[in-house]
Amino acid sequence: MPAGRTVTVSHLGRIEGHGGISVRIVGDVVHEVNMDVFEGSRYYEALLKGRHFLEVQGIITRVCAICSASHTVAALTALEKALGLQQSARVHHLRGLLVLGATVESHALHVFALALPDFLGFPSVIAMAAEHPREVAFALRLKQLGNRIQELVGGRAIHPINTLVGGFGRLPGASALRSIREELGAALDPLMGTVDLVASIAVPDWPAQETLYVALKPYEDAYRFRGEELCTSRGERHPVESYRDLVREFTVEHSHAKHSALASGETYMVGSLARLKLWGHLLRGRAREAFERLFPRGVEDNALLNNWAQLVELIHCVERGMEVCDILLGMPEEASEMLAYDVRAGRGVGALEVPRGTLFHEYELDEEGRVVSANVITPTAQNLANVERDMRRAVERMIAKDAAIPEPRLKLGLEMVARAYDPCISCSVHVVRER
Amino acid sequence: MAGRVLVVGFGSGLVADDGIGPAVIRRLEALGPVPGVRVEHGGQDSLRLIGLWRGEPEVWLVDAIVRGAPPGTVHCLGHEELLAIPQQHGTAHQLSLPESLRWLALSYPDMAAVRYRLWGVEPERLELGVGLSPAVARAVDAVADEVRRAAGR
Repeated sequence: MPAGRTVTVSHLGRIEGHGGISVRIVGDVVHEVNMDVFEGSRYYEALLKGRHFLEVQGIITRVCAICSASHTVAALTALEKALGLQQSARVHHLRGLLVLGATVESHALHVFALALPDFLGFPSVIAMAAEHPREVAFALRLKQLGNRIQELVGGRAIHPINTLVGGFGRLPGASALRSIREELGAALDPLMGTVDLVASIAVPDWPAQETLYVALKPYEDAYRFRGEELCTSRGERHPVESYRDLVREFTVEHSHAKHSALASGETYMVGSLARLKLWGHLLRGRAREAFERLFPRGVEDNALLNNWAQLVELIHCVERGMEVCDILLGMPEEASEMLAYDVRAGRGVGALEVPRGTLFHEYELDEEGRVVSANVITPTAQNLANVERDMRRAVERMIAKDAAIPEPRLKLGLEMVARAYDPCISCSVHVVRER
Repeated sequence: MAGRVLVVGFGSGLVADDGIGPAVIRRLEALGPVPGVRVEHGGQDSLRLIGLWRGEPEVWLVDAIVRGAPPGTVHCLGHEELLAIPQQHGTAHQLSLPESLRWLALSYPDMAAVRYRLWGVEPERLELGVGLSPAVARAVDAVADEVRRAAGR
């Protein structure tokens, strides 16, 4: 039997949180691929039990500072469903703007600072500035614009406080919305310039393999990040309330985060590439142009393309953000908006497409509004099993092409696959519960 | 009108000794204002410094820094020394502090003229948990006093 070797990436750089990779290879056979998540578990769901529903938002957003706006909107959506509350049009659009801001911030950093240096052969975003100074400078200003949108709507850039069950404490003024709209408009041309740069980059095919994708069906006939139906690229459809029928969680020894698979046992991918696969035909405007330019044959099965899918979504977020500003500016200016509601027992599921994929929050409340049970499933936790599957394929392809492939190249390939999913380890580990 | 100095503490109070930055800022707030000096909590994302900066020519930073010295050791780094630290590794949304400062200078020409100074405190524990370890907690007053002394010059 040939001697085996283990390839270990002890710290996976440029991902959010602490994770690593280990791969066991014997001869030309890949025996084991693990994405190790060793960030500590958080037990947030257990912490919420017995708490009043008004405390939920403030606690659950602490899962992750980076994804706090996404967790806020998902939690509020679920709680309002449990209480039988119907969002007003203004609340709906403001929360939509908050999600767009969070996505701009997240995608801008991932595409420009984390993915592009890999593909262009630079060790870091600063090194990339030597040849691409305009893109590097623009990226940070775009990220900052995403922050400012979150500050305007959420009251601060992380852990929003202005977003409440039933409404908003203070509504953004018209001049602030006009200013944000103007800045979004100014971002479009530089973004389209990046599409030209990206279109010239050859994307390796190591991890490419047939993949199942899952994303929410938009609530209207347009590219949107919210919806009430969960769809697979195979045509299955489930109301979000019965997400547990489709998504099954399980624990693995090497990870503090749960993994997910479909009820059939198949792994799947959520995120920008999944959304484009299912709903790319709904894109309009310059996002549509970018989609057709970067995906001329439609979405192909290759996780590395998730980086380019995020770029398409950045353009969509900018265009949609301008539209939402216009809608809000067309409404009568008010200081605040809050629906009246009665506290009652109930269960609610909030599902939302956030930068890394579909996020689920579920809460059950008793008649006094105290949390009986809580469940959160993050996109990263859903993707982890598929990341391992794609890393296995990538290693198999790389050693098939070159059995003597140097270990640093193998490691870089593995890291690029993991990073393409843009994993948020901090979010993923909170879901493990002691039983 | 911008003051002379912006003091920012980076870190998370939920990650044990990473909370040194916020702890020093709280101490400075408790000691009262110094003319021309503004203090702010920076959170965990050093790129958000641009949202806190109001044109101050000097930005002083307080953060945990791992250099292999005993826990609680205070490292005072000047502008050149801080910006010369290479990018080790970052996370998806948090580059290292020096890398963030370099990127800010590239993206915002006004910030390129800012002079930085860092008070970095060697941590004992960087894991989930509230509260500083004793050696690091003892550094809080020392750093706060040193920042105030430097601001008074």
